[in-house]
Amino acid sequence: MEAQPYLLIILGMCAVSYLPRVVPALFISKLKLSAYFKRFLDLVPYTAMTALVFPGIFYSVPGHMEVTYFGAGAAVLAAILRLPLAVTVVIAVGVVLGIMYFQGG
Amino acid sequence: MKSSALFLQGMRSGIPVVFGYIPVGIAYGVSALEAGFSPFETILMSCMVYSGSGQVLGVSMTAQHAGLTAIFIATFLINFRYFIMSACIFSRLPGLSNVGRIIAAWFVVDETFAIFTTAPNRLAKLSFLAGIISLTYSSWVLGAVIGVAAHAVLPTWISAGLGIALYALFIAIVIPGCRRNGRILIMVLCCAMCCCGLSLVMDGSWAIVVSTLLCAAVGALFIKDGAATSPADSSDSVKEVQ
Repeated sequence: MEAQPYLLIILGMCAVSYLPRVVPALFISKLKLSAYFKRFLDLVPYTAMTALVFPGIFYSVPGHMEVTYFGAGAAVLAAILRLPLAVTVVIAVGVVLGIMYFQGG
Repeated sequence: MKSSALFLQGMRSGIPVVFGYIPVGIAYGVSALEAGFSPFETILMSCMVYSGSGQVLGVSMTAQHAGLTAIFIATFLINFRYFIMSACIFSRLPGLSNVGRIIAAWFVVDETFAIFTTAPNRLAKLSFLAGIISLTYSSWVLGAVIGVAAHAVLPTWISAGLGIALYALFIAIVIPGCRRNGRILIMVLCCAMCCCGLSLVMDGSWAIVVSTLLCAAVGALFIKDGAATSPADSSDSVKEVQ
């Protein structure tokens, strides 16, 4: 395998990840936010996390899309039953690893 | 509330994230080594980039011998959501100095954002944010360290199966809001369908950006009490943690 410029990749990724974080941090207080824009910002957590999960969750276990359906279902069910966040995560991982184990790894 | 108490409260709120970060950090560490990064570079990337999806994306593109420009553009696109998240976080910290902003901005990620922006006003202080950050950031780096150590011993199917952990965490954070407000539930369902549909016709990271912005913009027309309902979210999760 041909060697990649690994350190350069890390530095570049660092820069393009930091830029969108720091620009609004420095300039947000200079903006006057409308009531509509504040409501918009309140709802972004829900839509951002939903969009991150669907369809991303179905590709989260490379080569095993079918187990992610059960993992996602288990997580939704656990959250509806008001189980603690950490328990929900452990259950979803447990379901996925359990099915993969019985499939023979 | 004293700032030390706020800091501890922040750390407590960050505990569930640790359970999501460590497994994903391990999975990342294993795949970065597979892509040819050295153990030092693998851990350095977790310290410097601090973005689960960005790092996993960058590592897989490196493994496929993508060009530098493509890797940087893709990382920027998948991380552009931090622009909005950072705006939400720092709009709750109007008194913070520029130096504080420059430092704290380094640690803006989905989980920091989710916990901090849904916390009640009395908790939305810098010390609370610092508490969240100190626990979650160190567990993310620790996950990569464990991944590097475990690379030799862990069967590949286990490291693959750990990939679902962070997604389960997001589900667990979104659902309490949906239980409480039917309109939020409708918006979330529309957003899931929107993102699944858009990712068929455009790049996945653009689909996330577009459906996040679109669904929240439409939702804000119909959901007037989003802010009023948000704090209850976090007191739910804070209760659950304790």
